[in-house]
Amino acid sequence: MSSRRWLVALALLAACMDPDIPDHSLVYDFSDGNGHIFHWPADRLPVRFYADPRGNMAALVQRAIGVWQDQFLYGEFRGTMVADSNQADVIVFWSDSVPPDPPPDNGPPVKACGGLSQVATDSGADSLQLAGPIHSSLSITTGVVWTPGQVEACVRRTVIHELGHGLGIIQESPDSVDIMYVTPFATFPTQRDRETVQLLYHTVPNLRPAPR
Amino acid sequence: MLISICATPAARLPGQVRIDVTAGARYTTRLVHDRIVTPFDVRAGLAPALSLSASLPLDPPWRLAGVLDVSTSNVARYDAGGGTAPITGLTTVSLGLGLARPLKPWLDGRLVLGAIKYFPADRVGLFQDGGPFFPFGQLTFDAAPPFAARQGLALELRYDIHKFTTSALRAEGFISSQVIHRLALGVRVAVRRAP
Repeated sequence: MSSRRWLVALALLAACMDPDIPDHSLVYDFSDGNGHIFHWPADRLPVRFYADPRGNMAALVQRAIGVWQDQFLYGEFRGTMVADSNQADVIVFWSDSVPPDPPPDNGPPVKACGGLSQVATDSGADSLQLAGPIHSSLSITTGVVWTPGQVEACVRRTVIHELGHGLGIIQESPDSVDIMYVTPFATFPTQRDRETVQLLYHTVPNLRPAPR
Repeated sequence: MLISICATPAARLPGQVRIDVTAGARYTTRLVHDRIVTPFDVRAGLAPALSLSASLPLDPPWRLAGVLDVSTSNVARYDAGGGTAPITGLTTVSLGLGLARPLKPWLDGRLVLGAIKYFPADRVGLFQDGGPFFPFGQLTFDAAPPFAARQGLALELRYDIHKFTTSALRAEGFISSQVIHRLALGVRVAVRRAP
């Protein structure tokens, strides 16, 4: 075969080849301590979120849904807001005081707030399932006077973190730079958060959502 | 030769413009192949395809052809295990310019170069940064047996090729593009025949 024919053959071969698949292995453990794995199945999408009507919680939750949706490329997760908490899969509320809604502080992050998500399980007929909606609460840290901007920056980070639990990342990240670290100082999910939640949504769960 | 065929159309009469419309269906090869736990593909479904072409006579046997091509379908993830998950709707619009000529008395050929633009229905998933556009090349064959030609009808086979990627895929680590092959089969109707 002449060199010209070889070149044509190589060009055709290149045209048929797929791009290299990227490495998706930058992950941390997402199951709980008992090996339970949970994510919202495709037939429960979009996941329905209810936000406390007080303050700017609805805007915070809507933003966090968008942030998590953007971590997925292939239709694994979608979320939507609902106005009735009885229709919700995930309920997010202020546990005590409601902060104002100023622009977030862009300085070094501080622990001006806290969050807690409760994923209660129940034994179903044939397997383990959630007992009901996932409840996430946010609180403002007392004892130190934070600026309203520091509080706002903290609740933005923390709502994303708590919704990460609501998506199924039950465990915290061991790395302090991740949004799913126990005290989130990241503004957005890192590549490790992203690859972890992607891996979770391609893993067969052993925990089902509560029936609607 | 190139100067000659490019310079000639301006001198042609509008009455020599031939306009055709083609309606059919299009198959598209996979947009993405990835593996997270198990392998999967992202594909556009079988799509209705519509094209509008106009051509002007050049030095025989050539014609200068412009083609607008539109198709719309759903994009979904197809897991190796058989599951599917919808991602969004997708419309592609391509515009090209090229040359056409008869290959046989009953067969015309056309080669077009141009650009293709992706319009996702929603800015989600791999299209979260919007729809990209790419250069593309298209090869078309129109077969018109005498009985169909008299009615201004032809069977049209269109093949095109372009590269595909998105900002979100590049951010995910896909450093090169996927080559996309598309094949459309349709019926061409002459809306305005050249004399």
